Amino acid sequence: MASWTDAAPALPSHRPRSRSRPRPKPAPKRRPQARRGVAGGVVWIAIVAVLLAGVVALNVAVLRLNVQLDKLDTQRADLRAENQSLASQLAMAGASPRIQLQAEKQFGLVPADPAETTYVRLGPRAR
Amino acid sequence: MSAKASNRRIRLLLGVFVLAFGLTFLRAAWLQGVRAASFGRIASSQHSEDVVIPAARGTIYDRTGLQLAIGEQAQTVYADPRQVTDPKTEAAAVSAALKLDPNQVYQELTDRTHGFVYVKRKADPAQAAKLAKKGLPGLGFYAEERRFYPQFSLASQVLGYAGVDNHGLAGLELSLDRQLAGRPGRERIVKDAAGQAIDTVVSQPERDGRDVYLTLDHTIQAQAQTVLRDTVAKWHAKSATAIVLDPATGAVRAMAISPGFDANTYPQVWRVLQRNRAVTDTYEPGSTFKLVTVAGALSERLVSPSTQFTLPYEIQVADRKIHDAEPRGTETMSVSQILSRSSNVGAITLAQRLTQHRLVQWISRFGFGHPTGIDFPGESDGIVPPERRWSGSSIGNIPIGQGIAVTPIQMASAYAAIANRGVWVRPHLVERVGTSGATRPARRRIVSKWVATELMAMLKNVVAEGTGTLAAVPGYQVAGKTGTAAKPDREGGYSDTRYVASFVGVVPASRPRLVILVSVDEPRGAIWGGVVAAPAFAEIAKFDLQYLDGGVPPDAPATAASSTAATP
Repeated sequence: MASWTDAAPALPSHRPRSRSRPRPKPAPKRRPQARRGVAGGVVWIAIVAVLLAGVVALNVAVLRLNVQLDKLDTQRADLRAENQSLASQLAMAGASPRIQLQAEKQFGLVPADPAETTYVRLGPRAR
Repeated sequence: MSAKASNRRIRLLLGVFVLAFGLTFLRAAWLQGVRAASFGRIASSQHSEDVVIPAARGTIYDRTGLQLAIGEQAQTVYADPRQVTDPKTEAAAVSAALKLDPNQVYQELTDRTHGFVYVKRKADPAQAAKLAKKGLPGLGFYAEERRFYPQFSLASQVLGYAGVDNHGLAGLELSLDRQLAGRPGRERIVKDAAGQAIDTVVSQPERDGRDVYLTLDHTIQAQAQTVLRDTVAKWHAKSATAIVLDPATGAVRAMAISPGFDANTYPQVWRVLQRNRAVTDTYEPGSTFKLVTVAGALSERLVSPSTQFTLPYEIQVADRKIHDAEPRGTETMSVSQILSRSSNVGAITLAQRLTQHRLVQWISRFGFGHPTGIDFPGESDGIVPPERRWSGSSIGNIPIGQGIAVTPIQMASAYAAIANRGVWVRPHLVERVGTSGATRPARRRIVSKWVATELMAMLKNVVAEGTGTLAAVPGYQVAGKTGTAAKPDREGGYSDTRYVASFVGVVPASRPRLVILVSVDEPRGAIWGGVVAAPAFAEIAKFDLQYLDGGVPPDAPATAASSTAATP
C-alpha cells in the first residue's frame, strides 16, 4: 500500500529540516450499520412529517366539510320553507271551488244540469 | 467569581424553576382534577350549542290529495331588552314592520327585568326579513313552523286547529296530534371563536309527522257549505248542519256546519262556532226517527208495508194527547203511507204494537244512545232514556222522535245502513295515516235485506208523493224522510217558536251512492223539514251526483230510458 510520504519528491537538502507535518488522520470509515440507522431516521422523520401533514390536512378537510354541511343545512331549511310556501300557494290555487268560481266569472261556465246530461252506456265488449 | 458562588446561583435558579414548575403543576392539578367538571361545562357552553330540531308537522289531505292543513315556515321575533339602545325608535320600527301596537312593543322593549321577550311569534317571513335588514340591536329571529289552512273556512270545524306551539288543540288536529306531530331531533353544534359552526354532532335525528288522508272531498264539502250558508241566510236560521256519507263504506265525504270560521284566525273566533255540531251536539230528530219504529215493526214481522190501519187525527197516550201535524179526519193508512205522510198517530200505533221493550232494543240496535265510534274527538252518545225511566207517555213521543236526542252523524249512519241493504258501517273521516293501508271500518247487520229494501221503497214514496217532494233531484230517484221537531224549552215543555227542520235522504235510490243529512236550527218563516231542509238536500245532491266519479248515471225511469245504449 503506497503512503503519502513515499510518493512525495525529496525536499532540497539546504532547506532546514522542518518538523514533519502531522499526518492527517484517515477519515473514519462509517460502519454500514450506522449509515442505515441515519437513513432510517430520515425516512421516519419524513413519514411522521407526512402523517402529521396528513392529519392536519384531514382535519382541515373535515372542518371545511362541516362548514359546508352547516351551509347545506341552512340551504335545506330555506328550501323546505320555500317548498312549504309553494305547496300552500298550490293548495290555494288548486282548490276546485276557486277554479269553479273563476270558470264562472271568466268564461261563464256553469255546472251541468243532471236533467240535460246524457250518459252513454257501453256494451260489455267495449270495456 | 468563585466556583462556589457560581454553584450557589445555579442552585438558586434551580430552586426558582422547581418552585415555578411546582406551582404550575399544582395549579394544573387543581384545574384538571378539582375544577375540571365546572370549567368543562363553561367551555362547552362557549364553544358548543345544543339545538332542538323541530319535526315538521304532517300535512292533512282530502281524498283528492288537496292540502287542507299544511306546515309553513314563519319567523319568530324576540328581543333582549337589556341590549336595546333606543327603545322608542325600535318600538316604532318593529310595530310598523310587524303591524303591532307600538305602545305594547315599547313596554316590552323597556322591561329590563327580562333578558328575553317575544315580540311576535310566527310572524310573516317577508315582514320579519324586512325588519332583520334594519339590524336593530337587541332584536333576534328564529324560524318556526306555523300551521296554515290554505282552504281557510273549508271543513274548519272538522280539521280543528293547532296552537302556537304546533300542538293540536281541536278537531282532527287534536285527535291525530300524536301522528301529525312527529318527534323533534337534537344536535350539538361545535363553534369556532368567531361563532361559525365547525362540527355538528347529531344525537337524535328528527322524525317528521305523518301525513293524514281524509275521506272528505273538498269539492263536495265546499258545495255543502255554500248551500248551508244560503239556507241559513234564506231562513234566518241560527245554524245548519250537513253530512254527506258514502253508505257502502261509511266514508264521510262532507261534514259542513254553518256559520263556519277561518281556522287561521281561530283565537278570534267565538268558541260556539268552532264546534263540530255534526258529532258533538244532539237534537230531537222528530219524524226522521220514525224510520226506527217502522223498521222494528217490519223486522218483528208485526206488519207489512201494505198493512192498513184506521187512524184518528189524535191519540191519547197516558196523560198526553198527540195528533198529526195537519188536521184531518179519521183515515185508513198503510204502513208505507204512515211513513210518507209522516203520521204521528200511525207511528205511535206501530210502536204500541211493537211494545216498549222491543222499541228500546231497536233504538239501541240502530246505534242511538251510543257513540258511532267516528274518528273525531268529543263524540256525543246522544240522549236515550233507559227503559226503567220511561213514563207512560214515552211510548207516545219517543217513536216520533221526541224525548230523545241524537247526533246528526248517528242519524245519517242509521239511514246509511238502510241504504246499504241493512248493514251499518261505522262512519269515518280518516282514510289512512302515512303510508299505512286504510283500515276497514266496523260493520254489522241491523235489519234484513228485505226490510231494508221495503224501507227504501217507503222512503222513495216520501219524496215522490209525501212530505219530501222538494227533495226531488231531476233525473234521479230519491229516498228520504223529513223531520220537524220543536225544541225543548226551559220549563220542561216544547217551544212553539223554535224548531229544528231536517231531511235525511239517499241518492240514487236504486243504487245508493250518497246519504245526505241536512238539519236547520231555528229557521224563521217556515219550520218544516220538507220546506226548509229538503231543498238544501236537493241542491247538495244535484251537484254531488254530477261531480262524483265524473257523474252518476240517472236512475229515474224517464231519464234512465233516455240514456243511450251503445255497443261497439
